Amino acid sequence: MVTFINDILPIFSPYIRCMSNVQFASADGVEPGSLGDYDFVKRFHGRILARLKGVNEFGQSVPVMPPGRPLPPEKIALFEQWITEGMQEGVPVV
Amino acid sequence: MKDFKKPAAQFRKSGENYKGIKALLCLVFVSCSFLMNNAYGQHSAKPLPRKNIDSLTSLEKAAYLHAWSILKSRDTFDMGSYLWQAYVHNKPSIILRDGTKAVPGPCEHGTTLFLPWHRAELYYFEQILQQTDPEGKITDANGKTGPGTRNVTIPYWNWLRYPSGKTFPKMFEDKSSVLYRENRFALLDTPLISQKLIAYQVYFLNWLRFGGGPAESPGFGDFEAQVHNPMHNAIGEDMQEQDLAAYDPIFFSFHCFIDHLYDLWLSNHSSADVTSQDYYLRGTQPSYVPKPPGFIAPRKGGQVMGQTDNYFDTKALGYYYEIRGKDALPPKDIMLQYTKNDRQFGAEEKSLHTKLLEGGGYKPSSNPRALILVKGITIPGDSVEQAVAVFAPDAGLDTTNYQVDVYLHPKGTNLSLTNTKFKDRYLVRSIVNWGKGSQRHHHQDMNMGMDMGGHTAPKVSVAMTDELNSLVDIHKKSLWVVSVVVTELEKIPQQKVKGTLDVTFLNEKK
Repeated sequence: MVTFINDILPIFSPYIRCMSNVQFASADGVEPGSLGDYDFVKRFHGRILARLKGVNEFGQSVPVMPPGRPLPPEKIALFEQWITEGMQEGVPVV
Repeated sequence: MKDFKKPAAQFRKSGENYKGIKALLCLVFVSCSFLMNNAYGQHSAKPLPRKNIDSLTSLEKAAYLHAWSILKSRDTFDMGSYLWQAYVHNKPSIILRDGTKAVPGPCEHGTTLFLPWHRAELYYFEQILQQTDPEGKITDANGKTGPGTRNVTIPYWNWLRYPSGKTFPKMFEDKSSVLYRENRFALLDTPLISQKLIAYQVYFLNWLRFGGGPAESPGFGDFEAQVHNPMHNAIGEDMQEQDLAAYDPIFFSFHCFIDHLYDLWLSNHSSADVTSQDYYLRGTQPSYVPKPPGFIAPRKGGQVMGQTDNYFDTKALGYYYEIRGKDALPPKDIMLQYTKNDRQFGAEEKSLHTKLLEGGGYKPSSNPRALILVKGITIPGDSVEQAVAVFAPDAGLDTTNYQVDVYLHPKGTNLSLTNTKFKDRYLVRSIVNWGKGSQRHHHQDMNMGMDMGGHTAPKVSVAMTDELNSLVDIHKKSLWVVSVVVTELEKIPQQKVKGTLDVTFLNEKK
């Protein structure tokens, strides 16, 4: 089982500070990106996945994130697996 | 991947329970607008026309320039200033004089929010223009007192027509004018975009194809990729970059015409088809500007300009488009000929997209330095739900602006950039990636000391479902080829574009 704390957070950690500069719009308002926050990533998982892949589910392109180099395919696949498995938060492995 | 043809119903609205409240607020707002004055003078209750900039009267021109002059003289951090209004589009953050951080914008692109966001931005900008000097009593930096700006509206630049000046409308070419910007290109001696392409998109594309992917599954719509992006790239150095574009005064008249086209789409379809319409539109604007009808304060977060569905009715926002004579698009019944779906792709001398490009200066590339990528495919035995060609730039390639032309042709026929007959017959689609400055645009604080490894230009995907499916009956199991031509558009290319091509089919239909 893929969890946020043990598997996804390490992938996103290098980009937390940079993405805090980006305002995410939703039906609730706008808020700064918070890739280190489980609830945030869970709420915006669809948008994040499209940006990681550079293509949405309808085959339309979108600027890829992270802006430096795209994540390796295996990390994107891990994020997709996390989504498919219900986006569990998990507990830290000691 | 999901079907382009079906609107993403699950993305339309996530907050249905707000609908009744919004309707009530809208009714209250419209009623009160006939009675109330705001602090800057009486707000006109009657919707005002947005006109072609070349058809403004002398008084209207003077009022528009007077309003702009006042805007330009205001302090940078005055939200009613020209610079702040440019920041709303250009900047995700800015440090104020007291050292705190403000969040002016930035704009939305590559998503269903693209058109609503720019409409909201223009609404606020127009309101600010009107309130600069409603009574005509202020002397501006040019020494002119008045005229009154109460009825000023943003004039549109119809870039589908030949310019009244050498390259742009005359008002933008006057070097002494507040509207002048010296780093514009002198390339537009002909309308770049074809009227037929615009008309086809406005009349016949669904929202997903026209406006872009929903907020939770973002993606570029055809209008943005095939029209908006090439135009931005062609106008000037500022307009060529996402984080500089709104510094050029022509930006507002350019986007005003885009807003008119959005209005046309809405009048030919249903606003109910617009996805994510309860999403908020980011932007920090002056509090003295009346909120749009139906505005509901967000439950969380920073400054907003309202929600998408606050902006469907232009008359409720105080304006409408005056479209006369040659400013009108070709009628829908004339365009119907381009919707016949009994054509086999490649059987006619000119593909649909080639025909739609006729009349505009934008053409598929003939640049000998273009990158050409080729991938062989087998025509499937049955129609597919989705066929997409995806060009992926190499990782680490700096952001750049480039054109992507996609061809689909039988194996044994080779792409030649100088063979016009080949290109006319087999062109699927041509789009432009407008990416210059986007890294700074969304990641402003690039002095964070982080090595981001450069920037990766976005993938560009082009749908070719209809074209492919038209070949199934006669050419099933045959070998065909997808050829993609990628051309640098920047005047001084920073890096040669490199990348890979992938063609994916989704779910052959049973």
